Order: sequence, then structure tokens, then C-alpha cells
Amino acid sequence: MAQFEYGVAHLSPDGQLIVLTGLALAVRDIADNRQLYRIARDPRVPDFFQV
Amino acid sequence: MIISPDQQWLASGGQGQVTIRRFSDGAVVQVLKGREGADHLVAFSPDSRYLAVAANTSSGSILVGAPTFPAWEPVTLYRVADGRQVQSFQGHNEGAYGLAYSPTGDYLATFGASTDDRTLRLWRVSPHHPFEPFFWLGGGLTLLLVAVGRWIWQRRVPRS
Repeated sequence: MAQFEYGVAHLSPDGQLIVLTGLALAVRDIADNRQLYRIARDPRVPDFFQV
Repeated sequence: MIISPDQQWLASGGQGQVTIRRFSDGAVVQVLKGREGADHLVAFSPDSRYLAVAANTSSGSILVGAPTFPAWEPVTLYRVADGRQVQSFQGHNEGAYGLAYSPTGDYLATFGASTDDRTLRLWRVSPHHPFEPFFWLGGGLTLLLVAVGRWIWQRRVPRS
């Protein structure tokens, strides 16, 4: 099992935010679906998100 | 990928490294170098102060042309605040397939990744004591315990 994630969602402990992984890592507010930030994957190593 | 219980941090394990970000804005606060080319599992302590990292170097890795790794792969505990390695212990042959903290933060459970090491190990991780193996269950020992337990249970049930 690797930590490579694609199409995976993680709920924050307080249940208010959700982290989505796909072409990028995106954090959204569940209440209004507002995107807080988005981080693209590293094109050299798809397992990484850009630092 | 995992969010710390206090929601301050977001940790992601990848090939060769682990990244800790500030969850509020995604800013990188620590980049921890792991086993080059290996996949990494991560788990936050319940107080969010420590991050346990375990590499998976088994042949089941997603890597193509994966390098040859040493047989035993350690599990390492880092302090999130400064990325300092706090402790490390010899984990599993070819690394771990599973990694989890106990709710109290006193123990860390790991599961072996290789076909030669399908063991579940429980480690005491109190910050006041060095990592030490608490116990581990190998496949043979597990079967023995189940067999003994079943034998005792059958003796306790009155036959009609």
C-alpha cells in the first residue's frame, strides 16, 4: 500500500473542511463549497504536491 | 495523507519524503527526508505534536525499477514543530503496510509489508521512554493463541 492518493477525500476532525486529492490537492469549506486553497501535483514526481 | 487532530497540520507521505503543511493555508512547514524511492505512511500523535513515519519498501510498491532496500526498515518519530527526529526503532522487514497511533498516544501499531513479515507490532511511544517493542504477534503465535483460547472456551461451555 502506498501513500499515493488520487480521488480520495479526507474530512477534517471538526467536520467543516474537506481535503480532496486528484490532479491537485484542494481544501474546501463544506458549508458553502468555497475553495480555501489548491496545490498542484509536482510534474516531476506525481506522488508529491508542489512545495 | 492525514490531518492532525488539532487541525493545524496536513501531512502527506510520498516517494522518498514526507511533507508537513499548515492546514489553514497549505504552506509547507517541514520536509522530512525518508528512504529514497520508498513510499511512506504517516500518523499524527493524538496531541498533534509528533508524526510517525514508516517507509514501505516491499516489492508491492508502486515504484517502477525500485531500488534495492535494506531488509529492515525503521519507523521514525518526528517532532512536528521543528522536524527533529525524536526517536527511531527497527520496524519491519521491508517496511510497514499499516501505521496507527493509539487514542491515548501511548502506543503505535505497525503492520509488516512483506510476505515474510506479516506481523502486527505494538510499540510503546511515551515521550519519556525510548521506543521499545511492547509485543508482536507473528502468524504462528496468533494461531497458537486462537487454538488455546478456543480449547479453553470449549471446556467452559457445558455440554447438553
